[in-house]
Amino acid sequence: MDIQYISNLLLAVPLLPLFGATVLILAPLFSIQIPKLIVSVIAVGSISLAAICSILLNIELNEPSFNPVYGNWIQVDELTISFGLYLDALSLVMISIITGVGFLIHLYSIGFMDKDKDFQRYFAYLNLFVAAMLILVLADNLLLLFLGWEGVGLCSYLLIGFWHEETKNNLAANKAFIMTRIGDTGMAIGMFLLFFQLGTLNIQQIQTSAAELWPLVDVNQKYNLDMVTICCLLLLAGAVGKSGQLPLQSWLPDAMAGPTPVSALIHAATMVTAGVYLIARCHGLFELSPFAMQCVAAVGAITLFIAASAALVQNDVKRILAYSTISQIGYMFLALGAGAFSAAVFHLMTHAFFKALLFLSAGALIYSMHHEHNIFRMGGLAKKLPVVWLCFFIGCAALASLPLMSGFWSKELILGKLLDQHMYGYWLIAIAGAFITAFYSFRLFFVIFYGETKKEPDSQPSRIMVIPLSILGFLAIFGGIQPQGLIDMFSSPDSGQASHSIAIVAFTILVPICAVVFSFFQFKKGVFGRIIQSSVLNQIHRFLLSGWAFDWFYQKIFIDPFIELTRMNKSDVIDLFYKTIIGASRMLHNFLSQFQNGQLRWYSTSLVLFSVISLTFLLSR
Amino acid sequence: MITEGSLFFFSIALFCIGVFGVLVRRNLLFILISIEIMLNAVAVLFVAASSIHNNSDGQIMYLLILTLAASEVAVGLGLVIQMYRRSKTLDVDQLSSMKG
Repeated sequence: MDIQYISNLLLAVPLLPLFGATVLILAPLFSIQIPKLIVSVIAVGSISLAAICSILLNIELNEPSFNPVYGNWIQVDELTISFGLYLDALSLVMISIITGVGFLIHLYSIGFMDKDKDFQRYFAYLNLFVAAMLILVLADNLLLLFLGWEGVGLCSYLLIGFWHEETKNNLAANKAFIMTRIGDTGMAIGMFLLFFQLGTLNIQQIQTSAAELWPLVDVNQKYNLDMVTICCLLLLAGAVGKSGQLPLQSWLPDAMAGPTPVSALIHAATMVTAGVYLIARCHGLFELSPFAMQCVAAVGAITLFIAASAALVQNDVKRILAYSTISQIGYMFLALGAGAFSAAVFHLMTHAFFKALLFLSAGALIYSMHHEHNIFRMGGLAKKLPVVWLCFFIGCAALASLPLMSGFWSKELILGKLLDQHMYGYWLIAIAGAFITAFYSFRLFFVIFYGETKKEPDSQPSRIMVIPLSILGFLAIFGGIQPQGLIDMFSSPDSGQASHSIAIVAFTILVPICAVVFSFFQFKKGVFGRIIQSSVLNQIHRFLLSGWAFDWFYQKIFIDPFIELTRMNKSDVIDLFYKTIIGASRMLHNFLSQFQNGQLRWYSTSLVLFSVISLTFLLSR
Repeated sequence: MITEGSLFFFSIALFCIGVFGVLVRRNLLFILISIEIMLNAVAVLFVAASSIHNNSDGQIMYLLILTLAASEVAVGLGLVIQMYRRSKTLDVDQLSSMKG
């Protein structure tokens, strides 16, 4: 194995998409017209080369980790930030997902965005997005990671607001940017704190020196807010913002304003997985703080339940998928919190496959149905759009974790780990979540594809869209193989596989199936889409439809008081002081200018008066 | 016998009358006359002082003031005539063209 060869290969992975983005962005500045075909070749070519590089890396890498340093980025006194990439099993899995799924989404986008006038701008952003995400997962220090992190945030803003002529989309983009920024602030502070405490930003060094500085004395000291806990919680804030977890989740459903392949990219390969990656990457740090781990698990569990229940009642096909993403990321956080890092990353991988499949087939569906998003205006499409029907079926089955699909293996693993850790409460929430997930995913499936036809599709998805769909469909079925490297990387000596009783295993397998059957009977009875009569149920429905009314809550808690405050301070308190000075000098001016009235006798009078007064003063002295 | 005190008092009274005239009269001609009165009040004071001190400087000064007053009146009256020709009035309040 040639070191030079591998390090060059590794550097090429993030630089190729970056190069594609640079070319596509710079070309219009020099008024060079690139034909559509060349744009597609540059965009898809760069990412496919990156995908080939990551496949080669998969073959070539036979060490546990590989850390080439390409030079110094920042060097000020004690602070030395190198431009170094770090490759181990975790980042290898991540770059494989990002480049692989990203490549398929790029390919699909050629067909989807064919008629859009901003074809080139779209691919420039998409390439930049993938490049930023690759920098994020390959960075060997937190600052470089943060660069990719912010790059991802920027690109998500640009892509969510891609159709910028509509105000609604701009607002959604702003919301996504601001909400994630709140988390990023926490993460930046966490980084400063870590540097202040440990004197380094290199992720591996942080973990080793943190373990020396703050040894885990007692596993049971759960609610102790020491330094490592604070650092972990601040990093968690960043992760929560990016991954759309409670309490910063409300940007994600609104992010559906962007083009559908972008949603697929945000939800499957990039962006929302960044938070999961961050925690898995810093697992050494998080393991030092049992309280922070508890927080991660609690955030995941609550989010997965809230999002799953909100997904139950949505009408918009993309919003259902958005809520299901939040809920699935919740599973990953729950697994992270339980210490099952490899299970979390495994679920991330399978989720990337089936969620990309679902979003892309939803895109094909919307494309064929004149941009119709409401599932209740569709129906009976099984015969008319057979390809989309098949893809949706595979995607929904994997999402519902029906046996032998990819999602099944990863979710079973997470549930098993929860039992291993004796986290029975979380296990119950996860099981309830799994039931709801299966229920709403098949509600979606039945409502769209069965029942009476309400609207005819006008076109079939083009071939360039079907190819990525079929590859993703294959992966969604058979992608449930946990990468061996991950197991080796995260396995701790004492984690013996406790075997669970057959009853529990059978129960976890049966729950989704029951949900699907239940969903089918409900569909037959015509429950879905029926107008609700009872006012209490209506209230609950509206509450769930708004995603547990978080937007309303934030409006009342943060936005309204802020607007009230600005209204009170409309005339600027500090300006009052300066305005007083202006008023006083103006009054003095008005008073004194009365003496300059142009009257000769007035002037002579004052002359005389002054003479008399001054003479009197001189003589009387 | 005319005492020093009464001479000073006379001079000051005359000066004050002149000042008063300058301040209250609106007619430019009367203002000029009032200025003449003030000049003469000063001249009287000079003459009185020279007789008290037995020094002829005061009387020489009086001659100087006399010529000065004559030339001043000549110039002043010429200006007044010009002013009247231009604006058909000698009221200083109306003649005011300066603005504060």
